[in-house]
This record gives sequence, C-alpha cells and structure tokens, in this order.
Amino acid sequence: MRRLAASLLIFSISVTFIIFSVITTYSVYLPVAAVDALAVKPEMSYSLGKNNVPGDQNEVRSVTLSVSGTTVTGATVQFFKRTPGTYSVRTTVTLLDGNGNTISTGTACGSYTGTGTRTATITSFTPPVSIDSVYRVNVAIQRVGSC
Amino acid sequence: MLRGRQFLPLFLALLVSSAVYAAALALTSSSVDQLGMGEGNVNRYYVRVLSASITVNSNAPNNQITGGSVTLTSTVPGTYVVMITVTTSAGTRAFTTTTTLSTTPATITFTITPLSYNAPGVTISVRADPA
Repeated sequence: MRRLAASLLIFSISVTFIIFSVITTYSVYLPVAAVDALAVKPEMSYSLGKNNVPGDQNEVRSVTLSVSGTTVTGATVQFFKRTPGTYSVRTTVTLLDGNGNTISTGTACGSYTGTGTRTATITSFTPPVSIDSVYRVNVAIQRVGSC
Repeated sequence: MLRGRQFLPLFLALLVSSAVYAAALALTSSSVDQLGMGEGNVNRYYVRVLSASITVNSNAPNNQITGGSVTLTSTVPGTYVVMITVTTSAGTRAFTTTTTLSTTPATITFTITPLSYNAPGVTISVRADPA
C-alpha cells in the first residue's frame, strides 16, 4: 500500500509538472495594454454646400453640432451670403449612417439681409439620434420664396 | 511514508491547482477576442467630430479653401493620428497630424494648398487611428 501510494504521488507530481511545463511553454502572454483600441467608428465626414445658380451663390463655411450626452440636439451653421438682397434661406442638416442612409434631419429657415457671414440655428433633429450612429453630415442652404 | 488516506488530499490539491492554473490562462486569453476564447476588455473607440469649418482666401465666387478646423473627441483617450481630407470637384487635399484625443473636445486647425471651392460644395473627412 505504501509503495503504491508513493508511486502514485511521484506519478501525479510528474504529470502535474509536465502539464505546467507544456502550458507555460505554449502559452502566449499578450497583455491587453499592448493591444491598440479597436475602431468602431474611426471616421466622420462633413459636406458643406455651395450654390452657383443665378440669385443664389451662397456657401456654407462651418457647422457645429450640439450634443447632449450622445444625442444630437441641434446645429449651428455659418454661411456666406454672397447674393445681396433680402430673402429667405432654408438651411438643412442631414445626418447619415454608415450605409449612406438618412437617419435624421434638422432644418431652419430665416430671412437674411445684405451680404456677409450669417448664422442659421437648428434647434432639433427628427428623429433624435446618437452621434455614434452618424457617419456623415450634409449641410445645404437654399434660397426659398418664403419660410 | 505516505499512506493512501494521506495521499488523497494532496492528490486532490494538485488536481485543483492544475484546474485553477488552466482557468487563469483561459481568462487571460479571453482578453483578446481574436483568440476565440470570448470577448474581453479590449477598448473600442468612437470618433465624434462635433464641428467642421473652412477658411477661404476671399469672398469672391471663385474663392479657394486654404484651411479650416475640426473639433473632435474620442471615447477612448489616447494618442491618435488624425487625417483630414478635403475634397471638392477640383481635387483633394490631405492634412495629417498626431494629437491626443479624449472625451473633451479638441480642435485641430489645418492648412492646405489652396483648393477651389466649387459648387456643389466641399467634403471634409476626419479619420483618427491609434498612434
């Protein structure tokens, strides 16, 4: 009995040692810190519109999205009103997903006078969307008869 | 010398320690999902570009874009290579910089070789990859 126990003990210690050796030899230690963050959405693009038709040669210069948490709540658009006179301009900001589908839209319409840099403020988007769903932002301005 | 009854706890202890060690290795492997052991704590980031603007050389109808600025954040703080691409019907310009991004908005101002700002407009693409 004692001889059997001793044999089993030596056997189990040997097997354990071999298992540990094999695992240690063939394991690859790869700390998470050594792995770059994975991109879910590494890119966004903005399209700023410019018109070149008689009576409407205005152009967008900038757009800023307002975000509450991750929800896009509004936008501020600056455009250069090149075509003089007093008339209405409709500003449309369209949010698109990664497949190019429109997922939300916001509009503002106002009457503007003279020439120079003007500001249009969009106060809501329909439907509300997360900025993490937005891959592309299109900004268009258009002279309209009235708002 | 050990007897059978004395040997049993030691044998069980060896088995348990082997199992625990193997489980620990499996958990370490699971931190990288490519290994197929499950999905762990690899950071995943979203780039949020909050604003884009251009600067032009004049207010004339045939003006040119000379630069601009973008404001962006990343959900995972770190150092990123940011590439800004400006495209109109007249061509494409690119600007690349390395900067630190976090959840606090950072503004990058860029200059490019003048590019005609033609109708129907300009597209500004912003891409950030870990440096």
